[in-house]
Amino acid sequence: MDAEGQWVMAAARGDQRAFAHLVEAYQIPVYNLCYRMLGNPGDAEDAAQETFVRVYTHLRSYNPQQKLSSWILAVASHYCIDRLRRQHIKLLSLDEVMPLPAASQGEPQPEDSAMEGETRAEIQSLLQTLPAEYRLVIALRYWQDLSYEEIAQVVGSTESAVKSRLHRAREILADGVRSRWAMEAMPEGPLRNGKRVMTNAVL
Amino acid sequence: MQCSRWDELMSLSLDGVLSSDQQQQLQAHLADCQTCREQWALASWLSLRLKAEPPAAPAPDFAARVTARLAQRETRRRRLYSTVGICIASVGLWTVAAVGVLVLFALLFEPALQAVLVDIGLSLLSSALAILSVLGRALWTVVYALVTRPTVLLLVGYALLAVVLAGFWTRVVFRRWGQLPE
Repeated sequence: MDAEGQWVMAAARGDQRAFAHLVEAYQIPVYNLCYRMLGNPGDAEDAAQETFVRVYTHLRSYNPQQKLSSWILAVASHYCIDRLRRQHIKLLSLDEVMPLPAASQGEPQPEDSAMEGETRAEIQSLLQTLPAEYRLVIALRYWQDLSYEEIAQVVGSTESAVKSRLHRAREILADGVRSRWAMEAMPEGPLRNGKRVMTNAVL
Repeated sequence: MQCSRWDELMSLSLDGVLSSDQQQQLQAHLADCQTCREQWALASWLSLRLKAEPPAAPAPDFAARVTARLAQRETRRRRLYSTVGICIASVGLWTVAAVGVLVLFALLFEPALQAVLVDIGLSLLSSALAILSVLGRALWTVVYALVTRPTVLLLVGYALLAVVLAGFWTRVVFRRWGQLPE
């Protein structure tokens, strides 16, 4: 049995030091997924911690036949989706009694801008325009580099549904970029510089 | 083929899952269709930007914070369990106190019931108390002595003792609830 399997078995028996090894091993994928889903470092930190607490308390139900990374990412995904739904319901109920602030939900938070670079803020801003289910498949595809099959396992869906969501998510992102370019001149973009080069490079 | 169909192929191409035939068809279409060429340029540019974005990492000592959260959760769980245990013990104590007072009251003011209560009620109580340790047996001896020679003074004393003990348990329960984190 490899080291990871031993950590899992020890952690399932209540060994918190073994569990700390698992946290060290998966903290970046889990935190990154939470950050992409929730959009700011504070919520991402809280969601990532809660994900690992849930992993620890449900470790006995983990099936070793399943890839551990996929199982942990599934726990994080479900938690983030639930959290976003609760936030949505809270926002809807608040909306009944008071108007929403002028800043849109997709804009980066002040602390976000201070901590993250401009590119990251732009990417985050674009991602926040996606529905949660679409954002999830984009995050799993681009940052976890999962295949369609693995994404389907994580989100509890089918491969064809994953393909469809990725396609639709890319359309929404492209529409978002187009509308931004229409509002402000981009310093660089594929239609201004090196369109053919970019196209050939990817094809 | 409509352009929306080519959009789907572009998405699959970005994920590298198109067959070589499909890839050639897509390239041939892009050479002919200005709209799709622009769409492809934008989609591939976006894809490259997403791929180039490094993963976000948590602040240092993340594992330590998770461990602290786990310890906090465990403490909260233990407090909840002990509080539930105390609540159950408290309800049991109040029940025993109430039944005891009623039995003594009946023995004092309804002498005809004395024999029946002693035979049935106290034998049941005796069986229950027999499960307990030496303390339980000693308590049983005291209770038996009380009910075989009942007086008003003993009734009042027993009732007072029961109220004091039950009140003590209730106070412990409220303290426990006060310590529970929200």
